[in-house]
Amino acid sequence: MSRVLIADDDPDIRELVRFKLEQAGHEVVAVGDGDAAVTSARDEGPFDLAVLDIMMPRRSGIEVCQALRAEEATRAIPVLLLTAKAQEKDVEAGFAAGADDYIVKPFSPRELMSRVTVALARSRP
Amino acid sequence: VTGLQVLTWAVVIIAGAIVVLGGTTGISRVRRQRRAHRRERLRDELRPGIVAILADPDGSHQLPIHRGRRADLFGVLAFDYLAKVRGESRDALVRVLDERGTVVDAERRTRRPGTVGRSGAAELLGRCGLAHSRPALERLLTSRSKAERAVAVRALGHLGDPAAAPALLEVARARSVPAPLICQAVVRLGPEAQGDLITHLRSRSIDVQRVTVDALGLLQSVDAVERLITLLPDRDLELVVRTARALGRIGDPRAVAPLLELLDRSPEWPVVAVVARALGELGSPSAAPILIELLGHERPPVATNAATALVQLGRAGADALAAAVEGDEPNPYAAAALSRQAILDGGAP
Repeated sequence: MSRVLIADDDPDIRELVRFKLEQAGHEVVAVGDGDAAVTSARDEGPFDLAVLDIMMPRRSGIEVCQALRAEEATRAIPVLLLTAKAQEKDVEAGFAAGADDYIVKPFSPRELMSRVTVALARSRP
Repeated sequence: VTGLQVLTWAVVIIAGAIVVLGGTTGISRVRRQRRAHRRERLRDELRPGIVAILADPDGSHQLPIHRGRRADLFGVLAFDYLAKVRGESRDALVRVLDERGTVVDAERRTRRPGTVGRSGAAELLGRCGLAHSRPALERLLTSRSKAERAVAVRALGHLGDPAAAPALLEVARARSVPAPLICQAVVRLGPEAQGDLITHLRSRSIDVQRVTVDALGLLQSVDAVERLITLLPDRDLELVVRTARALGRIGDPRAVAPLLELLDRSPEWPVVAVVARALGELGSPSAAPILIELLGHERPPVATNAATALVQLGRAGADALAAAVEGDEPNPYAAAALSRQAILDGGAP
């Protein structure tokens, strides 16, 4: 079982991703904004994966990703960005901020789970 | 009655009005917040049913039948989810909605009075994308409401059924919906609509021809090239411009010679500008001499497009551009195009 942090301000997406991950046997912490994501990553860790939306209140997914990479305790968490921003420059900005994977909305829940599985497998020593 | 009394009463009345207004505004705000809160709570209650379908598309799902407000909100929630997921999860949700009769109900609602209800139903049908909804949506294309017609056009595009092409082009003929919206919907019908579209290139309506040309260009329809070339000598300047642009987008080398011929006989600068750009997209070195000549055109859009086209030609164009920026009077359009390309290539201009 892995611990996954989800940050998305849209409860429809958040609950769907939470359901899928819990169905797969993972423990999930779900939050609705960027600040809460950073706080949870710091205080409720360790996490094996973070699934972040980009356009969130208070702090964007890109900023959250940068904040995670800047701290020793959260640096190694694989980050999967799940966002409606589909332009090349957005994808580039996501990877430049340290994201490990990028999924564009509307998304396929099955594809998301495949990518989560790969990201978790890669992160395990 | 003294002046002071009148003033006092006026102040009292104004103060009273302010208090009443403030109170009313406050109460209505609180009511709105409570309504939104109740709505969110109800949405939270209904969400797990839809999430279960999306998370397990292969399973058999029996959702409870909702009535009244719950039924309305369930429809809204399902509608929202259709825009957020794709693949088999989305298909499973559409299947459940169809089995519950939501789709048939929406088709029925497109016949009822009330533009808002009909438009909402059309949006839902478009998102569900089931072919059997086409007749209901096509009927809305002749609605008296402009907004409703636009919704129906968009929804038919989302449906992606190539059989909707003639009805959509008929809307172009009637000019009852903005042409770009129709073009976007027609393109969404996909390559299977090409046959119908190519036939409509011969339409007597210039509006239908324009939309069709744009759509075929965006679909990069190689099958349409020969027929598009026959439109280049047309008397309608806008149609010629659109056709040249479409041929550039398609990128078939058969278009090079007819476009060069068009440059020889057409002095109108908008045509020349678009043809220059199209020749660049076609990438034929045989266009280089005329594009070099156009670098000195008096109209900036023509010279700019010629310079961009020369960049697109690769080696054949790059040498000409390099030569144009040397000497006492370097060509500014060539210099700008080279700088832009250098930035795109990741180097310094």
